[in-house]
Amino acid sequence: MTHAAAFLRRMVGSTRVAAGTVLLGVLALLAIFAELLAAPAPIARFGSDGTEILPAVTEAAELESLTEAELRVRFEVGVALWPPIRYGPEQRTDAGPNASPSLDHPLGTDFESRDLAARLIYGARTALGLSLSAVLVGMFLGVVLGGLAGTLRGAWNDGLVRLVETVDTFPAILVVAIVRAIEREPSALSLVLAVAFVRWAEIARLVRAEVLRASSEEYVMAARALGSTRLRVFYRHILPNALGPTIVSSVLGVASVVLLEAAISFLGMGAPTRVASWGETLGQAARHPSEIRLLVFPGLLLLATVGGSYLIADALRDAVDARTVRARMPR
Amino acid sequence: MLRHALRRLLWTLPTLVGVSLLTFFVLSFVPDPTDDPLLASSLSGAELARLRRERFLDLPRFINLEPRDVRLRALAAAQAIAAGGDGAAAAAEELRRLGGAALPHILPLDALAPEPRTRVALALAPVAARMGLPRAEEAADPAHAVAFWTRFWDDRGIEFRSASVRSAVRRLVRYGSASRASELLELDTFALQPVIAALQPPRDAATLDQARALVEVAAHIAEIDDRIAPGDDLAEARACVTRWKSFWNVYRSDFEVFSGPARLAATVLETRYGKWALGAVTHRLGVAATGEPVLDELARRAPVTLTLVFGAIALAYAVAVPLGALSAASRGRRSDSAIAAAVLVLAVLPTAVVAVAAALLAGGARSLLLPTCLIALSLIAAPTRQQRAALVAVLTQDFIRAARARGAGTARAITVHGLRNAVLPVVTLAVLEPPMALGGAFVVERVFELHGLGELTLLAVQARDVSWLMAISIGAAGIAALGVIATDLAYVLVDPRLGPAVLSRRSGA
Repeated sequence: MTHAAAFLRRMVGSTRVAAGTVLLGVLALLAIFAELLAAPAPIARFGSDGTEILPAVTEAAELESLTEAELRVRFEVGVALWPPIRYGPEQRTDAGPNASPSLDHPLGTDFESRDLAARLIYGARTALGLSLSAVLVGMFLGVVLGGLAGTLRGAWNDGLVRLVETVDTFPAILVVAIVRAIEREPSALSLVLAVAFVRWAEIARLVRAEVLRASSEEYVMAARALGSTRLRVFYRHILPNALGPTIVSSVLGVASVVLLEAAISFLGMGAPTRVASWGETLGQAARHPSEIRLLVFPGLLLLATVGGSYLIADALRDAVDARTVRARMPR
Repeated sequence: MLRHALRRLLWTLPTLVGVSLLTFFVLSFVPDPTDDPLLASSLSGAELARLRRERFLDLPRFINLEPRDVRLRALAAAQAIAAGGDGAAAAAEELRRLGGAALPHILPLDALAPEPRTRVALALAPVAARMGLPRAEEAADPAHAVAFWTRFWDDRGIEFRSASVRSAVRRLVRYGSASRASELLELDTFALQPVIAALQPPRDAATLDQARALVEVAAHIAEIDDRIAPGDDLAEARACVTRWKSFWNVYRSDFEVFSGPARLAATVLETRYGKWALGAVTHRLGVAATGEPVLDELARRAPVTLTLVFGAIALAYAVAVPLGALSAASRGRRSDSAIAAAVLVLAVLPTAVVAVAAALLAGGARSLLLPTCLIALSLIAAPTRQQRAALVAVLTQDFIRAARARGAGTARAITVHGLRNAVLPVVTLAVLEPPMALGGAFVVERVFELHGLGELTLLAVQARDVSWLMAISIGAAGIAALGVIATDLAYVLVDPRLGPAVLSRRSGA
C-alpha cells in the first residue's frame, strides 16, 4: 500500500472527517451557488421576448438601481423560476429595517432593511473565499520563505529567522488596522493580503524546522551525493515531508481566518459594510442586543465553519502523523 | 544568563527599528487630506505647498541624499531672480522669507552681471526694512541698492558668524534689553537658530520674560504673529513655545546650513521618517486623534488592554494545564474524549458572539473580570491539547514507570515527575497567544465599551492617525520580543539541561 493510499484510507474511515466535510461542504455549496438561493432576479425566465438565464449575475449593475416594485415588473413577462429568497444581499427591501421573519423573509431583515437570510448565504462566500485565498497565499509564501530560511546560511538565515519570529508574534488585527488606514476604499483584496502577511510566518516556521531536521537525514545526504541540486532536494525530498504539518496548520488557519474576518467586520474594519459578512451582522447584534436572531444565526454559521475545519484538521493531524496511528491501532 | 538576557534585549532594538521602518513605509501611503482633489482645487498653489510642507510631504521617506539647506535655497532663488521671467516674483518672496540667513551665501553680489545684480539687490529690500537698518530706503532704490548691500557686507559681514550670534542671544537672555533685541533683529533669520535653541518652556516669571523676549524676536524675524502677550499665563506661554518649536521642526532647513556632520545627519533627519522619529522622541510620540499626546493615551489605556490580554492568558493556562494533565491521565477513556470535545467547542465559539451574549445576560461589565474570562475561553483549547500531547509522551517514559513502581500514585507521578518535563511545549505556545488575545480584547472592548487600546485604534484607523498606529505597532512588536526572551529564560529555568543549547543557539543565531 502506498503512503498516499494509506493516508486516504485513514481519512475516509474517520467520522470526524465525515462530519467536518459535511459541514464545510454544505457551506461551500452555499457560497458557490448563492445566486440560486437568494437573488433579486429569477434563476431563469422564459418569456415571449426571449430567455434570460441568471440575470442577477449577468446584469448585476442594471438590477442594482431598480427598486423592489420595478424588479417585479421587469421579470413579470413569461415564466420565471425564482430562487427561494427573492432578495439580494445588498438590496434594501421594502420590508423596512428589523422586520420579523415572514414568508418573504424567512429570517427577517437586518437594521439596514436587507434580507438576513440572503446576507448570511452571501456571507459564506465572503468568509470562505477570503480565508481560503488568504491561507493559500500565506501557504505559498510560507513554504518558499521557510524553505529559504532552512537552506540559506549566514546573515540571510539570521534575518529571515528574526523576520519569521517578529511576524509570527505580531497581532494580525493591527496589520489589518494599518492596511485599512492607508486605503481610501476598503477592499477585499487588501484584507486577503493583510491576513496572508500574518499567516505565512507560522507555515515558514514549520517548513524551516522540517528542512533543518531533514537535512541531516541519510536520504537527503544520499540525494545530494547523487548530484541533486538544492532546489531538487527541497522539492522532491524535503517538501513532501513538510507538507503534512503545513496542511494541518493551513486547515486550522482557515478556521482562525474565518474568526478573524468575523472579528474585523464586527469592529467595522472589514469589507465595505455593503458586502455581506457574518461579522457585520454580529456587529449589528451588538448595537441592538434585543434582536437575538441577528446574534444566533451568524453565530451558528461561524460555529459550523470553524468546527468543520477543526474536525478535518484534527483528523488530518492524526492521519499524517504515523506515530499516533500506530498507537491507536495496536491490533 | 543575565548577560544572555541583556544581549537579547539589545538585539530587540534593531528589530523594533525594523518594525517601525516597515510600519512607517506602509503608513506613508495613508491618503493625506491635501491629496484630496476637492481641497487641492480650493486652495492656491502656494497654500497647498505650505500645507504639504508642514506635513513633511515634500521630503523623501527614509534617505535624503540632497538635503536642501539655506545655501542651496538662497542660490536657487538668486539665480531665478537674476534670470527674470515668471519665477522671479516667487523667488523674490522666497528670498524675503530666507532673509538674513541667505545673505552670507549671496553677498557680495560680484558674481552676477550688473543688471541681474540690481534685481537681486532690490529683491532683498524687504529684508533690509525688516532688519531695521539705517537708510534702509536706499535698498529699495534701483540706483543705490547694489551699493547699499556691498557697503552693508563690507561693514557688517563680520557679524554673520554663528559664535557671535550665539553670544548675542545669550546676552539677550541674560539682560533682556531692547538694544540687545535689536542686535539680533539686525542679523535677521541668521539669528533664528540660536534664538529657537535658547527658547525653553517657561517655568516661572523670570523665564517667562526671557521666553517672551525671544519669541518677540523670532516673531519679528519670521513675520509670524505668534507672540506671548503681556497678560498670558504660563500655560499659554508654554503652548506658544511649543508652536515655535514645531515651526522650527518644519522650516529649519530654510535657515540652517548643512555642512560636514550636520549634512550627514540631515540625510537621515531631513526625511519623513527622521521628522517622525525626532517628533516621537521629543513630543511624547506625537498627537493622537483625541488631541492628547500619544504617550499619555497609551499610559491611560494600555493597563485596560494589557490586563485583558495577559489576564486572559494566565486564566486560560490556569485552566488548560490541569485540564490537559487530567486528559492525559485518563487518555483513551470517556473523560478524555469529553474534555477534547469541550475544548473543541470552546475554541470554535466566536468571541464576538459569546461577548454579545454575555453582555446581554450580565447587562454590561462592572469590572474587567467578565471580559477577561470571555477572552480566556477561546485561548484554552491550544494549550490544553499541547499539554495533553506532551504529557502523554512523557508518561510512557521509564522514569514515570519507575516512580509508579516505587509506589507513587497517578496524581503524584503526574504532578511531581511528569508536568515539569511536559511543560516546555506549553511554554513555547505562550508566546503565540498575546497576538490572538489582542484580537479578542479589541472585540470585547467594543462590546463592553471599555476605554482600551482597541477603542482608540479603531478611531485611529478612521481618522488615519499615523502617530497612534506607529506607536501601537512598535509597542506590540516590543512586547512580542520581550515574550520571546522570557520564553528562552523559562526554558532554561524549567529544564537546566537546555541551558547551554538555548544560550549558544540564540547568541549564534
